[in-house]
Amino acid sequence: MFLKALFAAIRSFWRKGLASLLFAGISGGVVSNATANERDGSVVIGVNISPATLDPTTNPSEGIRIVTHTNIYEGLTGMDERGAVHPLLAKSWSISPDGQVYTFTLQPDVHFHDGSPLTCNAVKFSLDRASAPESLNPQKQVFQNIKNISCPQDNEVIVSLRAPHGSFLSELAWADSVVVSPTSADGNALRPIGTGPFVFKNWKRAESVTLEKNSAYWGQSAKLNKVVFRFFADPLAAANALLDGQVDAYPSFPAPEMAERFAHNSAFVVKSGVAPFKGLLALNNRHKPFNNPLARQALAYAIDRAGVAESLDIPGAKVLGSHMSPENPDYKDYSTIYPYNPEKAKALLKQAGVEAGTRLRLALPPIAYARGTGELIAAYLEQVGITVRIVQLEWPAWLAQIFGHHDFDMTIIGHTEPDDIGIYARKDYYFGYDNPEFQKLYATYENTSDPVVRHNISIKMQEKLARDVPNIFLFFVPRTNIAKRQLNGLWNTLPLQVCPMSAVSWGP
Amino acid sequence: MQRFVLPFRFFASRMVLLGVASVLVFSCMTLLPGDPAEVLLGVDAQPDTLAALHHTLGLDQPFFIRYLHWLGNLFKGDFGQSYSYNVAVWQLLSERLQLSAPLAGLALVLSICLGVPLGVLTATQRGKPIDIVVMGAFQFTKAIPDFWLAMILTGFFALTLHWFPAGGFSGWEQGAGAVLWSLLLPAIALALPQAAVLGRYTRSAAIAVLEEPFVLTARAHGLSERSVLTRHVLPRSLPPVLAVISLQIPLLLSGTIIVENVFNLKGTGALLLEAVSQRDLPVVQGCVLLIVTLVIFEKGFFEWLEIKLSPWVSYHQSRQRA
Repeated sequence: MFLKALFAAIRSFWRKGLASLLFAGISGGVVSNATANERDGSVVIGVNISPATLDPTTNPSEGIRIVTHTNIYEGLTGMDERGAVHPLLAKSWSISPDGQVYTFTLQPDVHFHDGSPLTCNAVKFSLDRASAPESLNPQKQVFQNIKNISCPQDNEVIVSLRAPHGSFLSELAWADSVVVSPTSADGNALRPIGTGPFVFKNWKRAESVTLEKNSAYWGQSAKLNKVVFRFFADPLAAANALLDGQVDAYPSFPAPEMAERFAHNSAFVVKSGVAPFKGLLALNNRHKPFNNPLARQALAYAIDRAGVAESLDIPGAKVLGSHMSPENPDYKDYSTIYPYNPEKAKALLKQAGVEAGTRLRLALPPIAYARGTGELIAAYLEQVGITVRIVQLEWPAWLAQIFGHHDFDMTIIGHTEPDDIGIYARKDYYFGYDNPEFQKLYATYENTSDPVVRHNISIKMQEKLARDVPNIFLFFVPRTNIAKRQLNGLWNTLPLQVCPMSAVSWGP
Repeated sequence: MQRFVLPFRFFASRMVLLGVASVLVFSCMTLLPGDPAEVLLGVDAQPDTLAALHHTLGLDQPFFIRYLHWLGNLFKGDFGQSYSYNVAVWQLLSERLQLSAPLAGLALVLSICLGVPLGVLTATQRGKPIDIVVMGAFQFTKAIPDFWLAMILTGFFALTLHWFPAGGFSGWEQGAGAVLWSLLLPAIALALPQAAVLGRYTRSAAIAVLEEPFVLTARAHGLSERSVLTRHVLPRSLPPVLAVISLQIPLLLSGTIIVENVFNLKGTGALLLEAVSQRDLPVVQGCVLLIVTLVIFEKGFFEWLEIKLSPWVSYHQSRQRA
C-alpha cells in the first residue's frame, strides 16, 4: 500500500515536480494555506529585496519602500495608480501665483502610531530633517529648495520655496517625503512609526516584516487584518514558495521566463505590471567620441533596438522611446527618429571623425538585462566598425567607476526612479550631458505647475533628448505580477516603488 | 612548567593568526573598488549626501586610523556597527547563527551517522555485493552538486509530497521541532555528499586496521565479530576519520550558501556574501573573524582529540616539543 503511494508520488514528481525544476511546465497540484489566510484576513507578499532598515527617508532601497511606503508612512500628498497626485495628510492646498508659496491644510484628527498627533510641527520637523546638512535623504535636493516652513496654526503649513518647482506636489508623494513624528523619528529604522493604515508588528531581518491593521486609522481602514512581506534572494526559491502556498502574491516576480508556467495554473493570475523603468545604453558625453552628437546619433542608427528588446525574452518588453516610462501620461515614443540603419551609422561615424576599429569599453553591471543584451549590442557596434571590449563589473565597482569616477565609454543600465528626466539637466551627473537648451527647457518646466503647460514642455524635452541622443533609449521591461486568483486590489501599474495594501482583500 | 607553556603557545599563535586574518580582510575590502556609501545611496545620490554619509560612517578617515579604531573597539568586545543595517554586527551574526549553527550541526551529525557506519560495514564486506552497491552510491552522491540535490529534494518532498516546507526558516520561537523540520531537507542536501567522503575514508582506514595482527589476536581470543569491530577496529580507525570531519566543519559553516539559497535560508554565508557585495566592511570582518576563530579552535580541539585517541601520536609530539 505504502509502496504504491510512493510510486504514485514518484510518477507525479517526474511529471510535475522535476519538470517544474527544469522549467518545462508547472501545472496544477497546488496545495495551499490560502484558505487559512483567507479566513483570518492575512496575506503574504513575496519581495525580492530585503530591507536593511525600515526608514525610507535615509535609504533609497526598493525593499524599504515596498514594505513601508503608503502602508506605514504617508506623505502630505499621495499618488494613485496612474500617477495622479491626490490629497493625503494634507486635506487641501493652495499655491501662490508665483509658484513659490504652498499653503497646506492638514487632515484633522490624524495620529501617529505612537499616539502623537499630526500637527504642522511634525510636518516642519520632517521636511527640515530631510534637508539638514547631515541628512541622508536620497532626494535631498527636493527639500533643499525649501526656504522656510511656518506654522500659523496647528493644522496649517506654509512652505516657501527658493525657486518655483512644478513637481513639488508629486515629489511630496514620494517615500522620501513621508511625514514622521518628532517623538519617534530616530527609531524609525528599526521601529517604523507613521500615520498609515497599517502598524508595524515585527521584523525578522532578512526573513519577513509583519504589519497589522491600524484600527485607529484616520481614513478608510484597511480590509486585511495582517500583511506579511517575505524576502527571497533566489528566483527558484520564490517560485517554490508560491507553488507551496507560502506566498499569496508576488508583485515583481524575479523570473519572468517562468511566469508562463504559472499562467497555465488555475490557482494563479499572472499580469504584466508596469513600473518606472528606462533601460539605457548610457554614453559618456564628456569624452571623445560621444562628446560629439553625430557619434551618438550614429550609435542610435547602429543598434536594432527592436532586436535587443526581443532578445530579452520577457513578455511585454518593448523598445523605449524616450527617457520616460511608457506608463507615464506624458510619455511619447520617439524611437523612430533614428531607425536601424548600419550604413547611415557608418557614414555618420566617419563624419564625426570616428575611425573604423576605434576601441570602446562597454561596462556591464551584474543585472540580467545588462549581461543578457551586452553581447548583442557589442555585435551591432562591431558591424559599424567599433571594436567593443566588454567589462563586467559587480555592483559596487560599477557605482564607483561609472557613477563615481565617470570612467567609462558606454554602459547598460536601467533607471527605475519615477519622473527623473531632470537628470539630463544635471551636467555633473554620470553621463555628463551638458546642454544649455535642455537646461532652459527643464527650468521652464519646473517654473510652472500648470499641468497643460508642463505636459507640453515635457514632450518638448523628450523630443530634444531623442534628437540629441545623450543616451540610447533601449528598452522597457514590465514587471511580472503573480497572485492567487482570489486576491483583489493589488496595484498592477506602479508610478512609484510601492505595494499599497489597504485596498487589498480576499474575494470569492 | 610545560603544562602552562603549551596552552599559552597554543593561544598566542592562534591570536597572531586571527590578527593576520583581520588585517588581510580589512586591506582587501579597502583595495576592492567600490564605496559603501555609493552602494547605500544608489544612483540618484547627490554629492553632499554622499559626503554626509561618509562622515557618519567614518569613511572620511584614513585606512590606518579606521583599522586601529576597529581593533580598539574589538578589544572592548564591540564588533562595530553594520554600515547598511545600522545595528551591531554582533546582533546580525547572532541572528544568523540561530540558523547556521543548527543547520551545520544537523548536517554534520547526519553525515557522521551515515558515513562512519557504512564505511565500517563496507570494509568488513569488502568485495561483496553490499560493498559494491554502497561504494557506487557514495561515488554518485559525491559527484552530484549539493544544490542540485537540494532542488531535487524540494521538488519531490516539498512540492510533490508536501511532507516538508519548500523553504524558509521557522525561527526558534516556533519550537525546536519546527526548526528541525525546516532544516532537515537542506541538512540532507549538505550531508549526503559529505557522508560519501567520510564513508570512503572510514572504509580505507578500517581496512588498514582489519589487516593488523591484533585483530587476528582478538578474533583468536574468541571475541565476537561485533565486539572486535566496535572495541578494537573502530577506535583505531578513528584518527584519520576525525581529521576528515575537522575539515568538513569549516565547509559546513561557510560553504553552504548555494544550498541556503535554494531553500531561502538566510544564514551566515548569505550575510557574508551580502556584506561583501555591499562593501559592508564591519560585517565582513565580523563574519570572517567568527569563521576563522571557529575553525582555529575546532582544529585545536580535534588535534587534542587525536592525541588522546592515539597514544603513539602523543609520544612523537611530546618528543618533538621537548
